Amino acid sequence: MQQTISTPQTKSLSVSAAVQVVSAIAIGVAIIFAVGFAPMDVAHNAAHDARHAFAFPCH
Amino acid sequence: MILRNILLSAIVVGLFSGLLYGLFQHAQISPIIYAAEQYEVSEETPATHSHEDAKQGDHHHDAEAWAPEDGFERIAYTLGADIGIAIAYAILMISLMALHDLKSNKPKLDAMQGIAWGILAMIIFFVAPAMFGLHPEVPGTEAAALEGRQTWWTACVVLTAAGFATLYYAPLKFKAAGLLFLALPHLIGAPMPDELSFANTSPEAVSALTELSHQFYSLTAIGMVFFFVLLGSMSGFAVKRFVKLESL
Repeated sequence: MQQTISTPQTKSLSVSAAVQVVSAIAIGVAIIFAVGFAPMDVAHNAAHDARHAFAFPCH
Repeated sequence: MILRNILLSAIVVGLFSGLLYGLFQHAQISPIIYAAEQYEVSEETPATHSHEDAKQGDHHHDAEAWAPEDGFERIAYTLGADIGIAIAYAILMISLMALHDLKSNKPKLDAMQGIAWGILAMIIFFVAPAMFGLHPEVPGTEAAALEGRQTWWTACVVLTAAGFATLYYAPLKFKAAGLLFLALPHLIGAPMPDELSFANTSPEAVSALTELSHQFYSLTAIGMVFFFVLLGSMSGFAVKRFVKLESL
């Protein structure tokens, strides 16, 4: 979508930039929940000490 | 490509800050966790697996669930998880900084202003939910049910972030709403047990775990300050240097 950068339609490009930023935020939130909050025992046990060290609710 | 630049920058920032925090944890925080685990009461007896205590958020896991072996394997998984959390925080930090540079008419960010963002992030992700709410805990601490605490933690983080954003970006007449957002999670109150108590009720365990809790509390706080200041300044540098918004 950035290939159209040479066209004068800068407005649609800035919308695209915001969408990309929001997508990045969604990825960050998903990782935090996977590492810090996922309830499965295996995920909890692997990340246990890190969850404590970041003061996430644990156990 | 903004998304790619945000993710690549965040991986570098998260690897570096997460690795440093992981090493700090290995030296200073994990020994407290291991020491506290010595006092964890045995869960071998079938009676402890009944659900009568479930609302107290008992630490009972499926005995067959995989867990990393103590020693190298456990340290490696902890380091990996620290880096994973740091990368996630870096993605959020750099994304929100990019959004600031894109959409607000405030000054563009750099490494110096990144330090201020880092301190705010520490308040959002640590001070508000943990120091003013669900205190950092050693294993074996009795706490309210996990789902309620996770929900409160998430709400507290989102409301605190919304509060600061409102105070900073909103027009003057709406800024009071920011204070309301900051206060709301603490007015509702974190789901807490009535007093600090531990699963192991023998007197020496309680006094040892109380002491360990205080050490754990101070050391995580010290670690979090360095972690978030580093994360913020590196993210501010990255958003200025690598996330090319001005080329749009």
